[in-house]
Amino acid sequence: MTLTKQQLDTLFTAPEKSERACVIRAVDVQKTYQMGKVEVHALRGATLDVLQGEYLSIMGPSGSGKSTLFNLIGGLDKPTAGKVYIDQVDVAQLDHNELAWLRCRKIGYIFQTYHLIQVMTCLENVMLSMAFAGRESDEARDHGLHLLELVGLADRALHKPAELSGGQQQRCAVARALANTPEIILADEPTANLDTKTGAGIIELLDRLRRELGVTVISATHDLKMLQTSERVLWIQDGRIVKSARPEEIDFTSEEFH
Amino acid sequence: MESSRIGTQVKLPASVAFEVVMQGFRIRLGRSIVTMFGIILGIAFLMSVLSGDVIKKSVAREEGMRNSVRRMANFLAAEVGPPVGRKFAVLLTGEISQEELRLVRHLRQNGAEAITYAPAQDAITVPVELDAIATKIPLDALADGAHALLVLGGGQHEQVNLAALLERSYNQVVGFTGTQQRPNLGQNATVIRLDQQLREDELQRIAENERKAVFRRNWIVIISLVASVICISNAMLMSVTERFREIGTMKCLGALSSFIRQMFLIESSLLGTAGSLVGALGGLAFSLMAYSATYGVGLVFGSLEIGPMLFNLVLCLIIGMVLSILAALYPAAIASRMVPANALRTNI
Repeated sequence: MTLTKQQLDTLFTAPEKSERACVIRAVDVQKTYQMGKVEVHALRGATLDVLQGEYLSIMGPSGSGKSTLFNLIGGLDKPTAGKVYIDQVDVAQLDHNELAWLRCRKIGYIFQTYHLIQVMTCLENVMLSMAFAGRESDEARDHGLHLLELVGLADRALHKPAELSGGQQQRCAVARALANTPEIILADEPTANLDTKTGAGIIELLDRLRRELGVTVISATHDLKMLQTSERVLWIQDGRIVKSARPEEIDFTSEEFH
Repeated sequence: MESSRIGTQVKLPASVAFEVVMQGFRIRLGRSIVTMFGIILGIAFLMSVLSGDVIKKSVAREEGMRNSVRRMANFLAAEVGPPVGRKFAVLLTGEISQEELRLVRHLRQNGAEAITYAPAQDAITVPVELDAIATKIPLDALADGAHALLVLGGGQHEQVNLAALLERSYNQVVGFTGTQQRPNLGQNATVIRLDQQLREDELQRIAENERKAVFRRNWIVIISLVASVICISNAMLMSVTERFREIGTMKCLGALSSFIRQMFLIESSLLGTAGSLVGALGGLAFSLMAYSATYGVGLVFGSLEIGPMLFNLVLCLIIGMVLSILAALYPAAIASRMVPANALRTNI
């Protein structure tokens, strides 16, 4: 998964480096699910700012509300209370059309369980994303192939997800997330199902995207390497953000990381 | 960095949804065929009932015609004996009917020595079929030596002097069809009424029975169609449920709700078209075979009316398509309304 600066430049138009703007802001976000008669408070008021070009990792035990927070800041769900701003725009104010635009162009999603469309080949998965952005041409196909090459799947472009290993599927999902040159990449445990080497490759790719192109990367993870690469780590527990730290302030040898 | 304004998602052409649907078909062929069976069975039933009606009607008409030709021939034979070696004269007072033409043909086929004909007026059109089995001669000499004079065509014959014609015939027998006035032709002439009109109350009873049968049939057809709509709807719902994650993924990638809805409607209408085509042809084949077994192949295919059959076929195709789209409306609405986060969370 090696890529040159030149390759990247052809893929992404580098944004202007200005002062770091706040791309995602969540203010006292709450989310309550109704499970039959029981109300489940998945988020009890989370507030966070994500700066442009930041590499933010979110940690937390399962059931802590990580995925819910992800869905909310990614515009995949609406909060029960509180506000989510993406690029200074209140997500609650957007109609379904604008939300679709946001999901399509602004944000690239990478999921723990890949969520590739099983009936389509890798290339078609990547190209579907572009099709939703209205790009449907040989140029889109070339771009898709280029992205697959970038993640090292050039020879598997015409294979279906079921024919690929977990790592290959995740790399395909990464390629798909990059298809519309998003400004934000939301990765929900992207390395959880991968072996160390493939995981490292994904981490390196995300880090390069961030450093060289100013893509904002937000990932939920327990991966030590990923935490160490990130600029800031948030801890979430019982639906609340309990701690924020820089990697250099964290003792990675402590109990909670093993 | 791009400005923070949020744009509007482009609306994709239906061809994109179509391609995605076709891809789905290729992969989920088995399930698609099962879904299609719902519409196939419903439409096959509808088509077999409709085409059965057409077949029954044409068979009944054909049988009625055969019976009435046989009856007319019998009446005639009762008076003049079997047609072998006899001469018949036909006076056309109007356009000859199918039944009457068949009677003449029957006489010819059963060995009539000669059949002559003459129109009462020049304006009367004579079908070529009649020319093939009878010879036209002048009106005056029409009945010369004939064993029977048949007045056919159901028109007026007052201007023709039947008595004078009969004078020159072999045995002064005249046969009428229809409700023409039977003139008094003198003592020597024998007048036969060849056809038989059903009484008014009998006609009413037949119409009443028919009405009841149609009502019963419509009821069964409607129930079967409702059942097949529910069947397709259920199958499409399953298909939606099965694809929750796929739908969620597409929404994450920026699919509009309308795209998702379009996808399911296209899928269903394709299934509906294919299913109703197969069903309609299957139903037609079934009813043809079933009625052939009852009435005989010759009678069914001999009396088959192509026009109404084609009409029913097209009707079944349209009904099938409309029903399958109707059946998909609800599942498509469910699919398109899904919040992507919920769609992704489901594990099926």
